[in-house]
Amino acid sequence: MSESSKSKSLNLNPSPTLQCKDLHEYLKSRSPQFLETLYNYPTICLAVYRELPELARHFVIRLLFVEQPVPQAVVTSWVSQTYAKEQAKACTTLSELSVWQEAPIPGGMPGWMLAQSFKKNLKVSLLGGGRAWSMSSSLEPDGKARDVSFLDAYALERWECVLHYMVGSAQTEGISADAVRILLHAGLMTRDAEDGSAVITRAGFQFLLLSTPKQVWLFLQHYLHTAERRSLSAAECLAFLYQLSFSTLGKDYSTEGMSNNMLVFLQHLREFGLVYQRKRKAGRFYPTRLALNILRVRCAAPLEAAAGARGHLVLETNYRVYGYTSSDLQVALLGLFTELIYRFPNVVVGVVSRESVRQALRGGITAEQIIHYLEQHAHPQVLWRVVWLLICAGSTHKLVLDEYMPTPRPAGRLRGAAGPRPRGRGAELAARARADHGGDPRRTRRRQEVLEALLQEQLVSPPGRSTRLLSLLANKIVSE
Amino acid sequence: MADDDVPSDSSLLVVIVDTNPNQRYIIEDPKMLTNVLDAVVAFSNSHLMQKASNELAVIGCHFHKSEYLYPSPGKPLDVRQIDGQYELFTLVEKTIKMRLVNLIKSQPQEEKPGESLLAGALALGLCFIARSRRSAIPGLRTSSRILVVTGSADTAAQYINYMNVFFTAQWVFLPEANERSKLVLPGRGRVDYRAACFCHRELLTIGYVCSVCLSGEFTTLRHFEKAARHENPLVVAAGNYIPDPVDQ
Repeated sequence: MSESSKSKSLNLNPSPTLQCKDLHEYLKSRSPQFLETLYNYPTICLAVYRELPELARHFVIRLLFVEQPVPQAVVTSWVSQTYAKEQAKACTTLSELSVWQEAPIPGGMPGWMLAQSFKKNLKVSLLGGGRAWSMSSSLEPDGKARDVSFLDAYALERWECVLHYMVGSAQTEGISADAVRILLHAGLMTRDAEDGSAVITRAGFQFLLLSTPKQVWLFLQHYLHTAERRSLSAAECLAFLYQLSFSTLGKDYSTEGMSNNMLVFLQHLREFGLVYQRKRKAGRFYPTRLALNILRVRCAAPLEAAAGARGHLVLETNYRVYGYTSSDLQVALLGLFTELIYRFPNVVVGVVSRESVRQALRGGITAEQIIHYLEQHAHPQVLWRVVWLLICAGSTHKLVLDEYMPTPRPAGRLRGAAGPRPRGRGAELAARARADHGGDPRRTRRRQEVLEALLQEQLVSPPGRSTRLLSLLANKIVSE
Repeated sequence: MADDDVPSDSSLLVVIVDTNPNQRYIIEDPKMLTNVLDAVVAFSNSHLMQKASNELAVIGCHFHKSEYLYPSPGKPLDVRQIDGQYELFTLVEKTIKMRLVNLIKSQPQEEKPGESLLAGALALGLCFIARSRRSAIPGLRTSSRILVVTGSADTAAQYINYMNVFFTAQWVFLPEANERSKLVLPGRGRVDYRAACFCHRELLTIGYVCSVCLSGEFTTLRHFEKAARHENPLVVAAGNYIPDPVDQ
């Protein structure tokens, strides 16, 4: 989840940025005893393995079939010297996650040995043996089987109920009290002082602009935190979640053998759209794409695209955005960073203006989140315009950031803004930046060079590279 | 195309397994093929284990045809977990074994087993890679590579096909090298680059080469004419580059 860690470090404003930990960060915050119990589940071992840094994965698989401890010097010799830093990082990650431990070798040299439970259960998931994860082998074929497109539509509809509730739209049926409690606990909504109803917070707005897999994972993390209170074992829930993420889309799985607690958990997942069940008492369930994408956060095909909803935004090079939607949710999201100028029953028109972007930045939304949202929802034929818009608006961003983070200019060259420049955090950041970079003309020139280079790249590279380009662009602009 | 130093989001591995019963190691011990297959399945599953987005294709190469062992061209098998193995890995194993049995059963009994059609299998693999690239999610960085597992010796008859396939691969694809560049790898086995006459495998320093396809080094005109594919005047090729051991 490099996107979220980047947004943490690029926090330009005082409001707290959304904390979106990935599986490893979540696990590192747990005790070693908790991890011990977790590694008895082959699903967790497989999930943890897949999220390890690449060198760490190679270390694990080389040690998987070795029974004795291996000298640390040998492990170090596996990596060429130029990558010593990456190698050290891989070793620390493995130690922090208790995947391996230090073990002395006869003779006194320090060695590494994989944790027994992790080794055993990773081998089971790869090669076989052990117990099946669910009792699905004895399932009769389903007379009323559901296909993948139905599951996608169902998942989208259910998940959007939560999002609609957050923006206060009455277009969909409400959500359960449990779900509201989770939103409150996560800080995405807060109780209004006057009438006690739930209102969305700044963090909630940032949450809305995240991609769906990230939203789901964040939501589930907070669910697990509150699970202890409801006497659900977080380890069991996590294992079940990962079991779901390893299932095959379109296949049904049996509920036989699941404990009462897990059946309760299943009903909650049903409400959020991660699984589909025809009836509560039906002996089977179908995992949906939302569940499967818990692990594939970066590469997942967007649920909306899978459900057949093509992008509804059309971008113009005059900074106007036309949203062909009647959904309150989409309109609210668009309104976060554009200035809405018209609304019709099926179209909403907004302008990406300097003021609206500045307001979004002040609200804690990063440029990267805006770009990502536009990319996710733009109509395929105008996808390339997202890049164009931002290269042109690159100068807008530059101006916005310049004003927000004032840099000294020669007297008499005010940019035409009437009021006083914002002081406080912006000014202190600028002062620090000046000290680091030693003078503004260089920074401004460098930014210009970067923008030109990116424009060059856009002209010669095919549209498919837009994602990489976008994050490049966003990083360059926002970080300087 | 993936750059060498940029990690890719998804990696496609194509494994080509030579199942020709004519290979020496199978003639000597038929059970060895099962061991090779088990190792190939374990390796393929380990590749799929690395990342959720990794993909796999396994092609079985026989003497009468080459076929996809995985993914199955038709509907995938309905596989349920019977033990703790991840369902996808069980599916890979069962599909490969079932389709291999079909491939071997389909071999024509009357014919004497010929050479393995490796060049054809390589072409199949390259087409699969091209297709998966075209249908990838835009913006997803993919990298691909091919692993060939064979016990067959070089065959002169397929030289031109091999060359075509190698040049195609070189033009269109780059191997996933970014991970390999970080690790210290075992040394490569020595390849004997010395020129040898195509028909009798005699080492030569000066020989005859077809000017059209630049293939086929032969010691004498007579050998050349016997093997000639193109009706062209021959060109005399000189020199036998013996690589300096330091370079390898």
